[in-house]
Amino acid sequence: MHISPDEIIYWQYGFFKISATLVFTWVVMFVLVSASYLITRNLKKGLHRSRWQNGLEMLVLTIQQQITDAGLTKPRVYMGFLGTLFLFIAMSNLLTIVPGFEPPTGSLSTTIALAACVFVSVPYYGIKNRGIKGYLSSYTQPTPFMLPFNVIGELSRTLALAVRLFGNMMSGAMILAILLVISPFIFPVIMSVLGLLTGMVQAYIFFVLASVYIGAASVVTKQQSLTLRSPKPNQPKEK
Amino acid sequence: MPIDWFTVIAQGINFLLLLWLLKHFLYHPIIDGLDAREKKIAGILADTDTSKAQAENLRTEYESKLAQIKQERTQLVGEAKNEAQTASQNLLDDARHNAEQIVKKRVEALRLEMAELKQDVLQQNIQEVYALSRKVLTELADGDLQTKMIDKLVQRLNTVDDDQHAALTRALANSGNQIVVRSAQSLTQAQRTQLLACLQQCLPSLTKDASQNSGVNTAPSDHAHSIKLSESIVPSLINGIELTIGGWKLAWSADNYLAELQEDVEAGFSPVKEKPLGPNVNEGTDNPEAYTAHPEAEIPHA
Repeated sequence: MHISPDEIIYWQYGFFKISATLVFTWVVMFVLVSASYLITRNLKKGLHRSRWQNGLEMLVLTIQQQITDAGLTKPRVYMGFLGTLFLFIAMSNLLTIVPGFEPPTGSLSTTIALAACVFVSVPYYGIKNRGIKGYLSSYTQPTPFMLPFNVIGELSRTLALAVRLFGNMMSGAMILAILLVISPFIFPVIMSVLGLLTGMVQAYIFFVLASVYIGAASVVTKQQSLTLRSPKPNQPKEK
Repeated sequence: MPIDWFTVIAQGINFLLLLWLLKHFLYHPIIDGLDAREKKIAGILADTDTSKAQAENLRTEYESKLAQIKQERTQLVGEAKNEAQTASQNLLDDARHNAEQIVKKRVEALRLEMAELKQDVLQQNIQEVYALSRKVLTELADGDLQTKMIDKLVQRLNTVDDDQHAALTRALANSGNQIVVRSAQSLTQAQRTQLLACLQQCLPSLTKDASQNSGVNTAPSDHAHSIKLSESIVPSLINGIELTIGGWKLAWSADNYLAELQEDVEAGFSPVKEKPLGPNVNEGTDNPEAYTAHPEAEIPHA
């Protein structure tokens, strides 16, 4: 029994190796990209459209709406990153229903890589929206004494993102494997369905948490800057 | 549980690659399509608003036109009603006029018919009166009445004027002293004697004048004896006597009176046709002058 698909290695040359994690990640990527290409190659911009296009539009609009609900005022800026996070995790978890498929999200390497992307994107969007000074000053809020705690919080929440997703997906796979040994009929099916639900929930949690982190790094600082500017009524208006 | 850092890096790269691919094949086409659709819908909505405004303008225009049409229709209907009333009134007037003309013609026809009827009745009455008079006079005619008529003729002969006297003289000469006597009854000897005596009394002057005018010398006695009386009985004279001398006739008879009476009455009634109906229709018959008969009837013959 493999705890992580990283342990399944198809090819290795020194530091470089091709594990099941990479292979199934490519499978997920292939499914997502090929499906998107097939649906959007004959995209119709009129009022009449195919049901597949309609489904994709619903998906994109739902993601956009969720980003907006998370507090980000320009959802299309974050659509690529956050949407890809959600779709990749969701598709990886959904494909567990395929026999023999090992979800890449069950690998700590994958979840650490995704969490690292979030960890990098938060300062990226924060600096992009507010500037480096404004972003860095957010670590000294509400007092500079909170700086180490904020830094620790930043790291810990990234680690939590990775471990949460890995733990859930790994545990699901482990439970399913153990149940197959104990009760090979019926019950593993129920647990597999439950695993699908858990996988979708985890994808949503990862997506929402990433949105909140990015939003906290950009939108909140904007509100603070607006609050600082407002109590100066006698000053001439800026042109 | 070891962490394979190569896998971590590779997954990071894979994620970034997937992000780029999905941006290229999923997000951008879908978002562009949504924007295009929204733009199209906005255009459709704008066109709809424009069309709605145009429709509103058209509706307002059509309502105004409809109101105008209704007004024109009301006006036309009113004019048509007035024309119909005028035409109806004209037709009624024409019909009334025609009816009046028909009634007038009918009344005129009735009046003429009544006048003709009255004329016929009058004519018939005149004929009756004439026949009755003729009958009465015929029944009353006798020798005494004829004697009186001869007296009247003799009196007439004695009172002829000079022009008539000269005409009689020439007529007597031209006729060869032939005098025709016509009477309703045969002359009695006394009447014949009286008539001859009257003629003999008048003949000298007649003979004298005739001899002077014609250059023939005739003795009065001879001349008187040369007069030839030719008598003839004409019952139609009723009461009367005629002396025909050449182309001249001296007469006194009831027949002449009645003929003159009839002519005068008919001449008196003839204008009645031209007179309107009324109480004066019998005016001619009431005029006594219309029945006046001349005692002498001289009929010159060419």
